[in-house]
This record gives sequence, C-alpha cells and structure tokens, in this order.
Amino acid sequence: MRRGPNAWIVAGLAAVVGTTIGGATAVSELLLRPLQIGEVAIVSALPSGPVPRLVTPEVTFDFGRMTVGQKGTHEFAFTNEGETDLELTKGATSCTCTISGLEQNTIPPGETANVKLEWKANPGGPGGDFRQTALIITNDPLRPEVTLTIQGKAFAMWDPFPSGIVFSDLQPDSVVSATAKVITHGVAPPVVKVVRVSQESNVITNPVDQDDDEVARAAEVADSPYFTATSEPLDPSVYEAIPGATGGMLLTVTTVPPLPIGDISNQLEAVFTIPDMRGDASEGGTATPEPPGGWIAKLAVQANVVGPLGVAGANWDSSRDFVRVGSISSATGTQFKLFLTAKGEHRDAVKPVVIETVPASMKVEIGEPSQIGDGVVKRIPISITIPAGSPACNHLGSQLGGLGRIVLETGHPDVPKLTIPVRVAVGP
Amino acid sequence: MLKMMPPKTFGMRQRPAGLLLACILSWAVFNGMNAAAEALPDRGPDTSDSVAQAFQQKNGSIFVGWPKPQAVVILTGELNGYVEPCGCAGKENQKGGLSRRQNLLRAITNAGWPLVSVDLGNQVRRFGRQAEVKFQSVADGLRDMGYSAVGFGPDDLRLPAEELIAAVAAVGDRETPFVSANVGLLGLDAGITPRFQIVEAGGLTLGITSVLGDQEAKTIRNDSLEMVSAAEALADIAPQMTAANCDHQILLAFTSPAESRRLAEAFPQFDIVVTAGGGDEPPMIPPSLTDETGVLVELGHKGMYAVAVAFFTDAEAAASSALQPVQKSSSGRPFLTQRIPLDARWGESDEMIQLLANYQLQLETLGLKGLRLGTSRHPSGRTFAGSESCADCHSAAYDVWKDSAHASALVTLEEAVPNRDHDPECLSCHVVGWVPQKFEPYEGGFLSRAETPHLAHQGCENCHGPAAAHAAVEAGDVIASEIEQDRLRSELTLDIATPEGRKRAVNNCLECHDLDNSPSFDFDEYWPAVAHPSESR
Repeated sequence: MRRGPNAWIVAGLAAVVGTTIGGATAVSELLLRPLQIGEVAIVSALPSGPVPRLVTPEVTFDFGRMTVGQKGTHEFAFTNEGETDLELTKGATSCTCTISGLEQNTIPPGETANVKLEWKANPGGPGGDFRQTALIITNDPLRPEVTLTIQGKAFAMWDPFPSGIVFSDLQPDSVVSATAKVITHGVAPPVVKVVRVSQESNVITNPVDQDDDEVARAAEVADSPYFTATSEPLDPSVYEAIPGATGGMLLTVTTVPPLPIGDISNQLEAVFTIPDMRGDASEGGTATPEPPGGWIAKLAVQANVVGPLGVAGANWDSSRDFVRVGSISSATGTQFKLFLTAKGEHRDAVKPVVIETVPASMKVEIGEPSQIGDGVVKRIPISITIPAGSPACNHLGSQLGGLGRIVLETGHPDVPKLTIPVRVAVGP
Repeated sequence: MLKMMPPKTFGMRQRPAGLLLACILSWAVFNGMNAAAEALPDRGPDTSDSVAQAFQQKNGSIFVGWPKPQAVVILTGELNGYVEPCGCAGKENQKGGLSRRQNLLRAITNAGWPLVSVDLGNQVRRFGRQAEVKFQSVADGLRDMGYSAVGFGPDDLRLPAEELIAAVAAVGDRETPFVSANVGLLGLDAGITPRFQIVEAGGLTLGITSVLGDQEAKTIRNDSLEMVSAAEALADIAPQMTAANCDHQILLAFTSPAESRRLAEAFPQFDIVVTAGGGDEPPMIPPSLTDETGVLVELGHKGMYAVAVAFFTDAEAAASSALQPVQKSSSGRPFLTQRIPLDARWGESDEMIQLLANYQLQLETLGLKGLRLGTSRHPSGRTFAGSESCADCHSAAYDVWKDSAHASALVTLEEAVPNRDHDPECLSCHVVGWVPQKFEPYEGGFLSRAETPHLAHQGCENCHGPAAAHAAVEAGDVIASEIEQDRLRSELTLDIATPEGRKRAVNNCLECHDLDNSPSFDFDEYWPAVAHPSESR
C-alpha cells in the first residue's frame, strides 16, 4: 500500500516553493515597472549587457569665503567610462542654485562633459554658512542619481551676533544690560559715529542694499525712552578668529526704568564708517561702496515686562490668566503643581499663605521657596489637590458657575493679595 | 490493456497533508512576496507612485537599498518658525512643514522600522505673542507625533518663562519630551524638564540629552532660567547616562558645528551629536566624529530636511544592499544615514493640518490687538488712501493692477486651507500698509476687511508710498499750493528707468519676493506682468 506524502516534507517543500514563487513574482513585478530609483531590486538585477559608467572626481566643492551677493560658479566633470552612452537629466536644485553647461545631455563612452553650478551668495540676506545642492539623474544603473554640493561662507558688510537683543521677564524697575557684537568685513576696523536705540523699529536693513538716505531717515526717529546704548571697539582677539573679519564693535544696551508692563519693540542703530572704503569694491572688502552717510547696523531690541509676581505651570493658561483643570471625576480627583515666581526688590518678602480656595474641597500646599540661578527670581512651588470624593461643583466660568479660585496673602507690599482663577468642574 | 483508474484522491490520512500543503504554500507565497517587495518608507501613506517618483527625481531618492534596520532615529530641528511651506511659490516647490514630517514618521512606523524621533529645538525665530502661540502649537504637534526628546534653541528660550513652561511641562501622566542638561526652566532642580531621557527601540537603549552652547546662552537675558555651561552640565550627567547602560548616546548640541565637535571630543560617549548652524541644507553624508566613528549631524535650516540614523545588526547586509558607505558607532555597531527632503512625496497629515488650523484660529481669536503688534510710523510720515483712490487719475495703471495677482492677494489668504488671513506673517505681504519683514502694520495700515476694506490686497501704495495727502489734494478735499501739489506727486513717483529708481523698486519688491516666499524672483522677468504706464489722466 502506497503511503501519502509526509506532512513535514510537504510543509518544507511548500515553504521553499512558495517563497521562491513569491519572491520571483515580486521581482518580476519590480522589473516590469518603470525605473524606481533606489529600489534594491534594480541594483540586484543589473542588465548583463554593456552599460554606461559614470565617474566623477568630485561631487562637493567648497567656495571658501564669498561676499554676500557675489556670484560663484564651479564645473563638475562627468566622465563616461562605460560602454554605452551616458544620459544626464537635470533634477531639482536648491532655491538659488542653477545648473548650466548641461547642453550635452549625452556623453559617449570615453568622453567627459562638465556640469556647471552657479550660485549667488545669499542675495538680500545676511552672511553665514551656505550649502546648496543640485540633483543629476543618470542612466548609470549603479549611480542613478548624483547630488552635487557647493558650500562655503558668505560675508555681509556687517554681521550681528545675536541678530537682536531680547530682555525676557523684566520688572518695571529693572536696570539690566545686554550686549551684541557686530563683526565687520571691511579693510579696517569700523569707526562708530552714532550709537543709539530709536523709539520705533523699521525693517532690519540689508547691509548690501542699504539706501543712500537710510541714515538720514533713521535719524528722524526719536530716541527710545526705555533703553540707552553704548559702543566700544571689539577686542581683536574676538574677531581675529573669524575668517575674513577685520573689526567689530561691542554694543551694550541698558534698560531705563520705569518700564511699562507689556512688550516693547525698539531698534538699536550703529552708524559707522570704515576707513578707505568709500567707493572701494576691492577684493576682501565689500562689493558695494559705502553709502554717503556711512553704514547703519540695525538690531531689534525687544523686551517683555511683567509684574512682580507670576504663575507658571502646565495647567496655567497665560492667554486667559487662569488655571486650566477642566472637568474631573469625583471618583478619582486630581492633583497638579504650579509655581509662583517673585521678582524685584521685594521678592524675599513674599511668603504666601492660602486664605481661600473655591471649590472648598481643593487643597493647596505651599512648598519651600528657592532661588533660581543667581537669585534674581524666587520660585515657590504650589501643590494643588482636588481629592477623590470631592462634592460635585461647576466652576468652568460659564453661566452655571463662575471660575474657582485660590486666594493668597503674598507678603509683597505692592501686591498683598493674589487671586489665581481656576477653571474646574467636579462631576460624578 | 489500458485500465481506467479512478481519479486519485487523498484518503483520510492524506487530506491533512493536502490542506497543510495549500496553507503553507499560500503563506509562503504571501511572505515571499512581502520579503522581496517590502515597501521602503519612501513616501507618505497616501502618495501615488507618480507623485513619489516625480519627487524622487526632483529631490533625490531615499533609503536606497536599505535593509530593515534594528532601529532608526529621525532627527529634526531648527524649524525657526516655518511650521508649513507658505505656498507662495507653489507648495509643491517648497520643502518642510510639520504635516509632511508626521507622514514621514508614519511611513517609517508603517514599514515596521522601530522609530525614535528627536528634535534639536528652536521652534520659533521671533519674539512676541505670535511666537508664543506658535511655540505652544509646535510643542503640541511634537507630542502628537510621538517625539521622544526635544531640545531648546535660543529663540525658544527668549520666550517668557511662563509661556515656555505651559507649553513643555508634563501634563498629567504624559511625560514631557523636552529635555536639557544645562537649561532649567525656573531652575535646574525645578524638575519641569528632565536633564536626559532614556528610550528604547528595536531592542536598543538610547540615552538622549541636549545642551545650549555657551555662546548662545550669552545671548539670552531671562532671569527665570538657570543656565550652566554645556561642558559643566555634561560632566554632571554623563556618569548617570553611562550608568543607564545605553547602547548609544545622543547629544543635541544647540551651538556651532565647531563647538559641537569640541563637546563630542570632550565627551566621547556620544555616538550621535546633532549640531545647530552649518549650511542651509544638511550634507549628503554627515561626517564622522572621531576615529572614523560616530556622526556629527547637521540638519539645515527651517525644517526642510530630516536626517535618519539607522542602526543595523549586520554590517555586511547593510553594505551589500545600500548604495552608500556604512558608518560605525564607537561600539562598532554599523549604521547608515539618510538626508530626507520633506517635499510633497510625503503628502499631508490630517492631524497636523488640523493643528495648524487651530493655530490660525487662535491668531484670529486674539486679533491684531491680542497679538500685541506694535505699529510704526511710515518712514515718509504719510498715511494710506487705498488703491481705489488712484483709479480716477491713473486709470491705465489701475487697470493693469486690477488684472494682476496683486489685486486679489488677500483673497488667496482667505481661501487657503486653513485660511491665513489673520496671520500677521502672511498678511504683511497681502495688504496695504504693513512692514513686510517685521509683520507689523504701519500706522494707518490694513487692520481687517471690516475696518479697512480699502487697504485689502497688495496695492499701489506698497510700492509708491502712502498717498492719502496726494489723493486729498488732487480731489480738492485739501487746498495746497502748486509747489506742494508737485512735491506730493513727485514723492510718489517711482521711475525704474533711472538706476536709483530701479534699485528702490527692486529692493521694495524683495521685501516680499524674498528667498522664502519667491525664490525664483527676478525683477526683469516679473516686471512685465505688472508693467503699467506712468502718465496720469
């Protein structure tokens, strides 16, 4: 009597046959599709006949130092060391990079063609590192794509660091200073004629495209009542390490109280000349002659002025000035943490005491105060618990009930009582 | 003699083997096809072949020949406020945006690659209420995308501390992804953000921390932050990270590439060091750190690219398949890197589009007043009249304008999805009387359709200057001397035939047609579309 096939042999055979069929089906599908660049199946299924073979001695070129607005070009050599024609097609380039010199889209075997990349260094923009790329599609099965890269550093007539000055979380009586460096790239260090903070801000001037009457126009705007500014030459040790830098100035901005609570936006201006640069566009200097009134470096000066006490935490909604808890279940309750911050000369007097909570079931615990950093700000943790089993209530700020609150006696002479609104509802 | 035989059938004993054969054959065919044609995460979930192929040929293919990695780390950063491509130059021509980013992460997850997402930081680039709202939205988006670690950039840290804390602090049981070794919101010991994170993916344990460079820290004046030097902070936490027995350690260093490299040399435990600065785009292959191991990753600017670092168990498999060099970690584990352009091949993510719509809604709710926008006097000191005021006398020029795209500029914002007609960063180039690069109105500039309908769209006065006084004199509403009348006329003249006039005109155009929004702008090419006669009626 003949026996049926052994189940294990059948299983093994089926697995091998099935995998082979599946794999072959998938590969054949891939090969029948148009060329999908980058698919491993294409690489592993190279045509057996003659193919083009692209050889490029370089795909990256470093321009080194360029002046902002200066145009640079570089030619990349493409050689076909294969046996059939090499076809090249332009892909995309970065926004300001263009490919030219690709008139010869076909390179016969053994021949070389050049692909030229042109780039204008950050026109209308600041200085800084740049890197731009261009993609070339080829019919070389081993190099279906070639990305050409140009890179370097562009220099403007002047480069600020940082690009603006921001004072965060100031007090109305704060007297604080901040500095910014302006690095120049002329033939000699700058001579500063005027440095000030103007009352209103304009567009930060493009140093290359500065209008001839820019300095005169800026001078018509009144000085800021909130800031003063000074300038001193930058120590050579600071700028000498920066390639191409020939000088600079250290600008210091100091606040002038009383400062209004809210945001302030003004503009730091430094008018300067660079000796021997008037009309000079020699190599190493600027491509644009010095304007009649001199160069004007403009930096935004912004500040945010707040009161002596602040509340912070994940649940704090600063747009609406309340603690956002939302609807919670009485079965589970909730707990979260806030911070009270105290700033200004009376910060050490702040010793909060809870005098009221709504809903009454809300427990508030004041933690130990501690200093932040150098002690200008004092941080006081506040732990808030609405325990499980709290009675139902609605303090969502709707018609059904006003917002809840935590009322503190602070100890601060100017703000003796602080009410922190709480948006919460307790349901079953 | 030929004997007729009944068709052969499997008996009771044979039937299970037949069924087994059929089942296993089907399973094997299915798996065989999957193994050979397993989809690479090279496009968004709903992207068609034609779109994917078009953008592969435009901006390059990705993950060419990669086998499935043990784990992949997706690195992003320096978003600098560019939450989405604005679309001014055609969205398909622009890269970046949170929506495409989410679809990239989704594609990787769908491909079954164990994923860790990490962001260097600097979500915003400006200061003020809009930047605060934007930071909160981006932070929400990063959480929704499942980021494991997010650092801080200097522009993030210039925001008021209470805003930062509201955006980044842990909410309930949901831990914060934000991390910093050397910056503490309300103090390093406040515990609002951890100093490092430990995450696991594909059986690998990764330790991740971030630092703000010392030079960058000097530019921040915020007493509610505690900052220590990057090197001091890393020396403090390095032993703790080492004690966590991580397979790899990642440092997010918001500082220059040179300074990042110095930190990497001082703390060689980090395999992946992500740096700020560098060129506009990341390099094709990021350089090694030291001794040909590790990697220094640049991300480019404005969130246009992501960079993948993928670890493999088998160096030979990776080397034989991928068309790029295999790099090695300090422990010898092979990895490949990939620069990923966030272009239209990724499609759009509904969740991020909704997040951006909510952001726009917040801007609308706050209004220009709630956004605390400052106003500045126009440099000329004059005020605006609106384009319709020009029509009577300059009818030929007005007709050209009326037929141009400039005359419907605000409509494009109103009809965009989501609408952006309450976003100062968009409005500034779509209405009359704003400072384009500061995103603020001049005194007397456009406020809203309801309040200032005559100043809608990109009108005449954005190039020629405010014309209220000129229009009033010409209309006879104000009596002026002939000399004064001529002066007002001449002040609005923009003669591109002269070098000075042309320079003024080109500079004016560049205020809006800048590299971000109009990268291919060329005055001579664009001018014919709006060229208009100079003479008046």
